[in-house]
Amino acid sequence: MCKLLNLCTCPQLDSKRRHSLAQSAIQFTDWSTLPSRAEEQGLGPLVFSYLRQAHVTLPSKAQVALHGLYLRHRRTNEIRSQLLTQIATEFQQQGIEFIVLKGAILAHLIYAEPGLRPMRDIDLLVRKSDILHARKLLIKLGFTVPLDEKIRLLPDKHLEVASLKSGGIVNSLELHYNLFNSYQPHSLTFEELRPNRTLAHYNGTELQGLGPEDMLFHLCEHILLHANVWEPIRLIWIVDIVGYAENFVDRIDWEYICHQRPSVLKLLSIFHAICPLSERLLNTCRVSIGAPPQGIGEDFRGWPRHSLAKLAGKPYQEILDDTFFPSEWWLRIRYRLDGVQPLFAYRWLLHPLYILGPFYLLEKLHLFWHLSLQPLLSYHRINNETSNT
Amino acid sequence: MKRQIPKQISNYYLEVLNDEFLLYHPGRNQIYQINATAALIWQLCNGERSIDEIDVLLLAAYPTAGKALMQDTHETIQQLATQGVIELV
Repeated sequence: MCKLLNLCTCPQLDSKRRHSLAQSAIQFTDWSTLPSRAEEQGLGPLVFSYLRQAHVTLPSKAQVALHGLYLRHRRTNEIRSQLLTQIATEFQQQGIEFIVLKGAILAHLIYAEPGLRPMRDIDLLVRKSDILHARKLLIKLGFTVPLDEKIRLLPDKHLEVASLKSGGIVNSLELHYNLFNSYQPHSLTFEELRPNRTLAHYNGTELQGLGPEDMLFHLCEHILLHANVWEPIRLIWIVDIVGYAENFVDRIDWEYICHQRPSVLKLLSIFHAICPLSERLLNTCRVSIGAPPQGIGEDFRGWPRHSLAKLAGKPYQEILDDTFFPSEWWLRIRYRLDGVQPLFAYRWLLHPLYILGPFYLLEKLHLFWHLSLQPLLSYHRINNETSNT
Repeated sequence: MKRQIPKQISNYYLEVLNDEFLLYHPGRNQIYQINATAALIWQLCNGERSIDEIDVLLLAAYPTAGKALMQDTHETIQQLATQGVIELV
């Protein structure tokens, strides 16, 4: 399963990879779970498209399921892209500048068809001074936005999710005024962004994305945020990063990336093992490439990602191995090591200590504070202040 | 049943690829693989034609099919309604 999905983790399928995929499919037997596993990784449409390009004959049920994923995401993306154009028109008329983040812009930038990049929701970055006005415009467009209009103070880096039912689906939209959440170590507001936006076009409407360096940094830090013992890394994020780096290799200021955003190069170094970088990109960005790591594409699968109850059917040795000695590939991403940096200390000492010691508990508490308690306290404070005015 | 009017549930789409007919909804996981006849019947369920009128149209298109066609049509419509792809008003 891993190998098949790994082979589909690429922005384009070249002839060599197509051949490998066809060969891999011959020996593959677990077709019944492939659609759901592909969907978990955000790869459903890509897997469908690539297997078709490789002329692979699938069992009927798997074929229908994958085809269905492709069709649903294509339609969903059309609906959400159309919504984006309406938002763009309204915001532009009102003088609100905004940046489209993540999947909603990447779908139009680096994929052969927008529908190949599943879009779970829409994320927009605006200036903090514009956020309440932007919120009002969303309400005007029919979005339901949970906070009361009288509230002036904002609970966190971004407002609660706005939603609109359209085309038979619920479309969620998040307004951000900082590129990063409060529990991330970085902060980047609209005013602090680097210039030279990346532009995409849909139905005659121009959509602005982040500038190349900020885009790569944002995508890389997003994946690093999720490289923990609780949340999965989705392979589609790797396609985003490699695809973007390949498409915009000549526009990216690699000197700036090297000195100011080293996490980008570290991740490209690791991702080369699953989605080989082109000679052009390798020569331009001068990433350090090491030997292929053990367990390419294997996410963390021990405790606490899976509860002990869920792991109960496995042999103890396997549970211990998965928890204390996960794949080298995941360890390097998790601990921000590139393909050549020594792993010894992390594998035999730091990661096991992290699990055994209080560190992961502290991290969990830190996240709990930022995701649950702090917003509650902020809402309580906001409601008190509003009722006192 | 014959006077009931079958109507497509909104936001279902029909996709045809290599003789394969798929009915899908962007917000629902279930995909329905149907044959060409069922696809035609679904397309005729426009919320204005009764089942009687659909029978008449199909018999005109396939005059030799006879009663078997009517039975198939009713079964197909019933199945599509059970699957939640159409509603009978």
